[in-house]
Amino acid sequence: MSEYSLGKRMLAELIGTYLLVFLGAGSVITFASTLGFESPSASLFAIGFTFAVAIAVAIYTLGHVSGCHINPAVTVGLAVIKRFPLNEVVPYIAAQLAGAVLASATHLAIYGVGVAQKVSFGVTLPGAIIGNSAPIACLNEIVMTFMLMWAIMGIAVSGKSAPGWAGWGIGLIVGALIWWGGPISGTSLNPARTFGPAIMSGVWTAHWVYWVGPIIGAVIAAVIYEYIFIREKS
Amino acid sequence: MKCYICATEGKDTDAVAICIVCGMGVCMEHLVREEVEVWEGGYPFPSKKLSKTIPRILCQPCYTAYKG
Repeated sequence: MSEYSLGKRMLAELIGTYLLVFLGAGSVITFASTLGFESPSASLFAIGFTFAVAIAVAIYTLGHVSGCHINPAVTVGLAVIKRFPLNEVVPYIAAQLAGAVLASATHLAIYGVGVAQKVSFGVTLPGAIIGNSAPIACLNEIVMTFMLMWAIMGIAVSGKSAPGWAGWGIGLIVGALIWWGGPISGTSLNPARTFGPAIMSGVWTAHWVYWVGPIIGAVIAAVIYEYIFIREKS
Repeated sequence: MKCYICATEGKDTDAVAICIVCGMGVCMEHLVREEVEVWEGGYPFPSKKLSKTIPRILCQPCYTAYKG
């Protein structure tokens, strides 16, 4: 058997993560600028739907090339259950982070620092609704990324779902998590998605939350689904 | 089964294959056989090309329609 070279797969991860952050985090900047903070519900819905579309397009166009993880937490989760080679985890994550930084750098070029920095380039932060508590935000990211990884395992990894729905299924669960959890922790679910805006904005507040939470949530979901529902059955 | 194309030319030739697209019986002279690559896998795993190909047989009209 042969497959795409590691270089091509890294390029696919870079482009996929670029697409995610360019559209997703970019929508935070755009909708905050156009709809303003007087219409937070409209902004939240629009941002969530933009993320859903970005993820669906990335999965449908790059899923067969690299697997389209576009998220270090997903890469780590799949590696822990031995469905992704350990020696490719670091190259994949490096490509994802590079794609995220490039996307945020593009935001700087398009919006200019004045507009983009109003919302810190769309970086995720613990919300006022939880008193800006990093530990609670971390708990929220754990639970939400558990749901995301659970959806990936059930829709795509198990092989038991109707084919062709991975893009929209996973995109829309991210959209729903943004609608629900946006005001709580920003709904990152993805260290790369927070890293790019953090680099460009210089806002590193509670940045650890968006590495620790998603990775823990993704690993728990992957392990439970893999060892209880997939391997146990077989 | 007889070769359809030969039959239209007034010849009586046994078919050796069936076009996978239109179902026409074709003789060795009127078939086109191609080896098709097979990829397995996909999101969230990189797809992999299998080492062996799968044969696909078409009649000449269908081959021409697909490949120009």
